[in-house]
Amino acid sequence: MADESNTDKLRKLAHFVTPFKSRLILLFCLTATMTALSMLPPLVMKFIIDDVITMGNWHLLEVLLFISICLPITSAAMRVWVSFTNAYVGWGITTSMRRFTYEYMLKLPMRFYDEMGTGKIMSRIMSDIASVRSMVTSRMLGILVDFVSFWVALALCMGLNWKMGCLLLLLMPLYFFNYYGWRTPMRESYSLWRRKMDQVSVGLQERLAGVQLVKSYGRERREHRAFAEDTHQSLDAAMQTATNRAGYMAGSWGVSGLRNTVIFCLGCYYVIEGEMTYGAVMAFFSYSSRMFQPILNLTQIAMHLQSVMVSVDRVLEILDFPIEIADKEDAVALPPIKGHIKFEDVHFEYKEDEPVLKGINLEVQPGQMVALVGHTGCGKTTLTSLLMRFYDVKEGRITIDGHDLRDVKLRTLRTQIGQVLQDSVMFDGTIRENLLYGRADATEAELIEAARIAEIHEFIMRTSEGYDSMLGKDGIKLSVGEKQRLAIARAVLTNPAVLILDEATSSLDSLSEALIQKAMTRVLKGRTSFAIAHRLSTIVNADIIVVMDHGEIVEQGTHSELLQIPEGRYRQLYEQQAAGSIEEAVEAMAS
Amino acid sequence: MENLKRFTILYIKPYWGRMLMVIMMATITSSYTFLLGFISKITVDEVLQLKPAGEVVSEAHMQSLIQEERRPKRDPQATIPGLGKEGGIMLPKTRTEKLEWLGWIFILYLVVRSFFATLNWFYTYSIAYVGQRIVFRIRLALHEKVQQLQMTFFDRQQTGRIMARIVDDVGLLQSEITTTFIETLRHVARILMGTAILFTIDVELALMAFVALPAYVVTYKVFQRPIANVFMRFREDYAEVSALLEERSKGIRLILSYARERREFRDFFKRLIGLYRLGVKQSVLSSGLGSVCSVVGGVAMGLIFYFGALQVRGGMMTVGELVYFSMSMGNLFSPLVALANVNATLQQMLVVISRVFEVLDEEVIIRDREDAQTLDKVRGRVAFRNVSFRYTETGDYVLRDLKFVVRPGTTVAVVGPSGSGKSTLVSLLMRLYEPTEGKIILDDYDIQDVKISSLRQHLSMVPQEPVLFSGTIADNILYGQAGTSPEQVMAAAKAAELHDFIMTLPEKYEAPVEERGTNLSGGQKQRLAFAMAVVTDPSILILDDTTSALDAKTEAKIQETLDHLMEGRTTFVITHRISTAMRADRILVLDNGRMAGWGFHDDLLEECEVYRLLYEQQQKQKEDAADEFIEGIMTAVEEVEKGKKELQSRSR
Repeated sequence: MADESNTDKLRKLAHFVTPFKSRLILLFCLTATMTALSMLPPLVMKFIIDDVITMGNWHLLEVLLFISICLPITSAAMRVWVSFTNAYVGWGITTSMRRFTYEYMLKLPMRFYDEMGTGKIMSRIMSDIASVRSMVTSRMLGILVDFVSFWVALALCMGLNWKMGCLLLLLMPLYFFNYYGWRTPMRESYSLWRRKMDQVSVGLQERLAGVQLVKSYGRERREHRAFAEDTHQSLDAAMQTATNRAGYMAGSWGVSGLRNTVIFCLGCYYVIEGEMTYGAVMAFFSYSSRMFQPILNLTQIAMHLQSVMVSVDRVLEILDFPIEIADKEDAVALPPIKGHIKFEDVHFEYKEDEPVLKGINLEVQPGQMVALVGHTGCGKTTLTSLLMRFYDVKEGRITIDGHDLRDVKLRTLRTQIGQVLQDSVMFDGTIRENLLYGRADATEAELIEAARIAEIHEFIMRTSEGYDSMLGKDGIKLSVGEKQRLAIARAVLTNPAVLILDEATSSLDSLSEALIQKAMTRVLKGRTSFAIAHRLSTIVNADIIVVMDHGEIVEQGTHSELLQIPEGRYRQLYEQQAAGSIEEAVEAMAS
Repeated sequence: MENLKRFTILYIKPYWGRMLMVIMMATITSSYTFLLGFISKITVDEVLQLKPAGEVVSEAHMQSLIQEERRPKRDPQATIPGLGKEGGIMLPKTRTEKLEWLGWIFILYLVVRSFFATLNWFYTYSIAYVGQRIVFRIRLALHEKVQQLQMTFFDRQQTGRIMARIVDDVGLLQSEITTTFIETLRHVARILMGTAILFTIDVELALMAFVALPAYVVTYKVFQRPIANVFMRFREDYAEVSALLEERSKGIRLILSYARERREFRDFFKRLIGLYRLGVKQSVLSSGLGSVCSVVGGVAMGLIFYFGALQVRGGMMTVGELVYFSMSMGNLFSPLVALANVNATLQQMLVVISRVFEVLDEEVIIRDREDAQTLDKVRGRVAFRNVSFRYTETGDYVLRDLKFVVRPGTTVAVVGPSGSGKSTLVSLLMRLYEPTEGKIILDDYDIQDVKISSLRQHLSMVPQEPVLFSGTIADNILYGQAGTSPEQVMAAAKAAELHDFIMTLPEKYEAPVEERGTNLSGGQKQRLAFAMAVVTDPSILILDDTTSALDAKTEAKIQETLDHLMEGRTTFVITHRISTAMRADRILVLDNGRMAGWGFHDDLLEECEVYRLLYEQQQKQKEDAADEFIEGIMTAVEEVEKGKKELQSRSR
């Protein structure tokens, strides 16, 4: 992929442009014509001054009036047409690219989201795609306009007076000298300024986020001094940038001033000598200024192209990401799950040579509750992610009722497994919309029933609009416990055969903890379930407790079985958590 | 408008000299194009002596002959239209005379051009100079104010919004607004000058030109509203699409686990189509505006040329004047459009200015009294005297009528259900907020009579979620006390049992801490926060639910560290674990902002309902666990007994 040439990369995106080919050609033709038309007014003026006034062909005046009225109307109509076509093509390309990218993205495995992160995904779909599109519609069009302007203007100038035309070409290098002379300092000072501003922002962000700390240590004065220092540096950089810019602009004013002076006076000299008419001088004057801007624009194409290529690369980062997890061609629909789940020598790693699971063997009978225990990072969550087939196993296999996960249709697998995540996600929308997320056709009664089971119904009824209360940005704020109970209700509503519960680690107060416990026991009944627990009290009733450490199952059994293993891992964990309470309990027993 | 005045006095006045210069330059540079037009006029009329062909010589071919003949001294045509204007008799010039004149014109042209190039450079530079400095001062003022403001301000405003004000809004003030402000003056000058010039050249033509101008403005006004509407809707929709995308990619697990990809995709597509429509509409509308404006301008120009040519033919105007007129008129249209925009920019500027003042006018409630005292030493006696507190004047009381005294060196545990006001209580003690009623006494001083910096020096808080700054570990430890020696830093790290860990790092104390401490584990961050708190050697230590986010093993380890740190200091421990609270000398029970209990564990169990409930809830969980555990031990013991017996029987 690294050796891919730019053309290859562009070719990959070309098929987004192909459907608009004919429109695009139309757009280019229209633009070229419009540019050429815009060259006419100075000619009209030349005729008025030369042929009509000076030469006295007064009968031409009406014709010229007619032309000079029609011309702006025609070019205005064309301009609207061009901009409509341009927007049509441009937005068409953007939309189809965004659409395709999003669709593709949803097929990608979790690994993609882990690696990419929300911010990067956002910028790729929103701004990078816009930038790729701008290459087709505005950059390429801009080049076309510049190209046409330059050659038409040059031809007209040469036609009006070839000697002055040659002089004009001789003056052109001055522009480049000015441009290239200032380019490096301008760029350097600008990027310095950007860096300084970033520094200001980052510093500010940190200070504001930690304002309580700043205040507790009485550091306001010093923080302000640091800010002032940063800001002052950014001011210096800004002034440096402004000075360079002013220098560049003065340079180009100087050059165009020189050009205009020379052309005007030389033109007048030719008029005196009778080699040129004054109208021609004026027209020449107009055209000469049309010739130079396109040249300067061309010098920047390389830079633009570079930034577009960066965007192309970024978009391709998504589009080239392999769809690792997809239905096989002969994938079958998973029949209703009974719940016999088997992990056979399962190996897994997120990154090469950093194994997360090393040979997991586990058999679960229908209706059993499995509790996964172990320190953070031991692979508990990974294990359940594999069951949902968010990732594929590296070695070994996982079967549900004898079906290898990789042989069944993803949809039929995932819809039958419910999951309550550690940090429960709720989307912007009403409570009802969120609860119905997994099953849009549930009845009101089912909805309320699910909420009751999850011990959240009462809470919902207490909100101002009940089930229609908004969640998220503009809606009600939920505590971690409430969110988790909503997530439980959402999962219950789909009546999954297998349920995965990831207990929240963050501290809940005793009341909401008790409510969640209650909900969980109810929900787990009769389902094959996997619970990732951080409080051992939750799981004493589990059918199988699996103790994991560094990606391996170190102990497995029921609560009382595991406690009997002397020096056992589970026993250690249990002792630690119970340490406080044992003393109390013993004391209580003694008394 | 009040704000604008204040803004001018505060931030523009200090630079009035420069500002005046900029304005003057703006006015002068606006005359540039008119000057060029005037030079053209002189050239055409005086040097080239272009004249309209009279009715007499309407035969086309005569003209070229005449031009040919203009080179010799005598110009037969010269006498005919000699009356250029009100009696000014134009004498025909010889070729040498013309060339001599042209030489002067060349020099004049060159001088004017270079003069204005220099002026423009100076103008661009000065405008940046003034703008950047104004922005700099506003940023400093804003930041200084924000640093002084009390916590209530930060509770109300999100970090992002404050950031946006200081960085983006103010930046806008510089980049767009200052420029627009000055440019407006320039446009006004240009319009006034242009109008005057048009009327002096030819009143009739000028009147005609001014008929076109209203059409220009009207077109603009007609398009402005729909464009603004579409633009706004587009922005909203765009933001919505972004928000949707952000939310969905964050919640991808949910989408996948409910296999909702297809519906999510359809949803997204629908929004994209909406965006597409608005995008097309937006560009058609804005190009429509541009087109209509150019039609108005183009047609007006055509008419002016037509009537101008007729005027010239009738001898009411010279060719040069027509050129001059057309050049001046072309310069009138663009400033008009810009002026039509001024209102919007002005509104924007007023909004930004009022936002700036909104922050600057925020009252600093918590500040040193004039006679505030500095405390050199604090024993650590803390007394709350009938303290009540609410965040806003209309809000509910968060704390109500708290009364208690803490003796120096003792530990107080603050317990209660979430939302009962535990954290608020210690924030009051830190004077991050001011009590609505009542007083907090430290040793013998009301904390409101003590200098804030001196008060906070003696207090240290370890927050629930440690806040770290980017920098080295050492930087973070000595955050509270600059000028701390490396030995003291090390001592603090040792006390927080962080030293051993630090020594395992390749850079030791100079190891970098990434933004928000992402490269440290929870326990390490917590210990670092402890080290930060101890390095100042505070008399009063506040632990805000410090251990609840940690797992049991880490907590047990940290507890030892804590016991060590708390020695000899008055300590407030906020917790919701009764087992932690029981270690304290006294327990304060809060319920819904009221003191529900104050005393020892045993007494509270009997007297305090809330405490008992909390205790029982946790007890039940623990008892369940403990029962299981004991049961487990019992079975284990039985097993052992059994084994023993077996052994015995075998040995027999």
